[in-house]
Amino acid sequence: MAGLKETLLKETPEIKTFNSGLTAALWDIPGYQKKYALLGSPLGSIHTGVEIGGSEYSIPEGTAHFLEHKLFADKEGGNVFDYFASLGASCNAYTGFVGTSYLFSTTENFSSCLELLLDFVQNLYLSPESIQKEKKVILQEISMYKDHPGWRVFHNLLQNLYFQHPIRNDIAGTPQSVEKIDAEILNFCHQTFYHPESLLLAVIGDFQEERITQVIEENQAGKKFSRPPRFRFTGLEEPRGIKKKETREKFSIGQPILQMGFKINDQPEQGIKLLERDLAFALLSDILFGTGSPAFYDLYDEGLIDDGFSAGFSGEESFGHFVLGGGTNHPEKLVERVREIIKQAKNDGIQPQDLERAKKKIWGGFVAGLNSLEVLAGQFVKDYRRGLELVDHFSALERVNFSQLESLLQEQLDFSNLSLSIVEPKQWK
Amino acid sequence: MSSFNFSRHFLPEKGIWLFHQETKKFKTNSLKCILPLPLDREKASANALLPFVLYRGSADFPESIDLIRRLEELFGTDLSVDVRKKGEWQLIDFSLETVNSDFLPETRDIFPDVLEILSGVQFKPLLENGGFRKSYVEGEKRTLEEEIINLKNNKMEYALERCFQEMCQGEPFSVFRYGDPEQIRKITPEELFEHHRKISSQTPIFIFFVGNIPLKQVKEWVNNSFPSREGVFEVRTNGVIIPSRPEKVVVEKDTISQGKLNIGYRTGINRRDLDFPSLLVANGLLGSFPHSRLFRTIREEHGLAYYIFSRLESTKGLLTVSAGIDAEKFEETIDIIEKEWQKIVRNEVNEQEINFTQKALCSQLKISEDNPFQLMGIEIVNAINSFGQSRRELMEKINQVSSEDVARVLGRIKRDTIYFLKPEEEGN
Repeated sequence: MAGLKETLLKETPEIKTFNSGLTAALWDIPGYQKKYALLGSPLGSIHTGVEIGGSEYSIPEGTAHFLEHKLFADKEGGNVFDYFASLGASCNAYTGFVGTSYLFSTTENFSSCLELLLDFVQNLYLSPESIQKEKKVILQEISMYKDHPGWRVFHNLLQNLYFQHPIRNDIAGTPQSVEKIDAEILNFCHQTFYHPESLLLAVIGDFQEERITQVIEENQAGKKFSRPPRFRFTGLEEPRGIKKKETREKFSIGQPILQMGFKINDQPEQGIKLLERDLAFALLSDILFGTGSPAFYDLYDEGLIDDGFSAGFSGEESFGHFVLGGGTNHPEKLVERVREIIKQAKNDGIQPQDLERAKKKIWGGFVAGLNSLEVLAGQFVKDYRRGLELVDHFSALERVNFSQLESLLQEQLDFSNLSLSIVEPKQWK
Repeated sequence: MSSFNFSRHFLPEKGIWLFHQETKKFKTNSLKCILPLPLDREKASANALLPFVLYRGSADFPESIDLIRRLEELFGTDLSVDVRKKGEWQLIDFSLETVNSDFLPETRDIFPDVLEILSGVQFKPLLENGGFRKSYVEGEKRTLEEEIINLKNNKMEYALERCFQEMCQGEPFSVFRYGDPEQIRKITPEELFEHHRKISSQTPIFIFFVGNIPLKQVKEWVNNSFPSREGVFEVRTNGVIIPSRPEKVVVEKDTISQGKLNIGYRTGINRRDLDFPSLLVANGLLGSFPHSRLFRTIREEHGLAYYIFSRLESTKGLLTVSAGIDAEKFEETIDIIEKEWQKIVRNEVNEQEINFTQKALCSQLKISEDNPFQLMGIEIVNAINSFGQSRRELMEKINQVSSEDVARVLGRIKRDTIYFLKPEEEGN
């Protein structure tokens, strides 16, 4: 174990904060061809309100995502994709519930790419025409997700579980909310949530770290920033309980898709507790419903599930839900059986050997993920915002115990907080 | 540039081709075991069903849960099976990944244990009454059938598959990688076992390894784990044929909100063709990057689509363009695509576009070295195409491609089929 920790420590990044307020993690990993950087803003799709200096401002649904799209245009009407392409690099971005990430990977011209990343994310250029044109593209994106039954079933579930928390909203917003987005709101969000003090940069690959530091320093020194606004996201309160027990939607698909979701009402505050909760749920779902659980092949042989069946938890400070499901020909029966399995587990308790096996499995899966620079950088950003580092995952995994799992099982998997979302073929029954 | 290139070794007594890449770069050891089978409408369903049934239980681990739990004990070794289609080959694919000993709390190498399990799954199946266990066969038949029906759940993938089916009607390529439900339903445990017996004795096995274990050791473990087999067939991939018939336009309706357009083209070029590097650049310039023509015109200039891209099926020699658009923009979109295509054919291309594309392609090739499964994925396509060019050689060729080459190659490509999955109103 000691040896392992040393090995992992070798891969711990050096963390620096620059004069502009930007914090960066610099990671030298020899042997990789790819060099990768990720710049994260804390503005995500769930952020629909903010308080600054005692005043509250509302942000239309889909703004974080709209802003992400708009940052890719520059002053001359040029396109950031082209600039990266000219450097032999490719770039991308994605908006999540709790943040937005901008990234590129390249095998050459790393310093220029890094400057370009910082420049395009830190400068917003808007024109009325470009805002109108982007609305058309975003409406097509919303349309595309509407045709995605796997996304619809999850979206409907979140709508059932939450009364008011903005995790209910689509990441891209609605056609109506997108219509409301204008230059004023985009500029406001950019100034507030893309200030260097709010951004987090992760730089990873096989390079000389010295030079990278200098590049960032000079880049930041050449820019002027207003005083960093102190902000607090609002509108994230959520009452206990669930809004709706069940939703069904007809779709042109082959087989129904079921998702069952438990809303988890108690939210831990500290980062390490959030991580322990993530891990405890991962272990619990593996023990109860993983491919090595008796339940999995029972359900499989009963014709209720296929190998797409999965169970997992997702949660941050303001929300948490445990979701299980997949394609099934018998959604009602599957619900009944899952309830039985959870009830049974509540009666019988968890077996120590199951916990040990699940820990080994999660260990292996986590290590395998770390082959990827993207995973390492993404994990860093998530951990850093929670005040954690990579090695915490291993110590927390060792620490998570029986009684934590028991308490999740007994208290959090509460049937009164269970909701169902089903999409079914149009001619179904 | 590093020297990442698989070394190839034939193990004649085993009928195995071993592709070995030693590296200390990764935290895991990864392996793929591929059985290439000629794509054939009659056999496709049985071929597809087979690995899933084998994975349910072997003579060593008759119960599924025991096999899975053994793998979990080995630090969550990930063993998975699937069936893929590359050109007119149906590939049975066993993949596994184990954490290497540097990252384990114990120092023992778990790789030989895992290889033994893998070989057992393939060659020591669980037998009952002269066939595979009936409940496993029936269970996997159901899952596979559902898998095929559920293709409809992913509209983008469904529309592409329909495009291929229409385009290659009557050719083996039109067969879906999982076969078809009717044939699956008919398969009995005895027939499937008989099928397994034939496949096991005749089919070469390609084993790809990426990890920190030296060749000698991997060879020894493979030799110890896998049975002796002689007289396996040789893998030969045919040249590309362009059938002569008029262009096909197929419009189908579905209750969706966005239309899914797919245009299929015959390139006449496969991986071994001298023009292959030019085709790579042509496809890249046309539509596989955000700097490409189609993204710039269809999305950025006209705002017609959120996604638009082109891609290659390099074993069969096909190029497809896919886009999600409003139904009434069908003609306009096709029109713009065709106009851009013709501009490239007329050599109205600037140096910069060629240059961006060359850089992007070379970068992709280099970056594939950072992911063991991507490395193996590329090597698999090379192996079935008997294509031995190294990444470095291919990059050199890509960098020599000129705009004239691109124009010439695109000018020869024939548009074959336009397939549009069109939104219809509820109740129609």
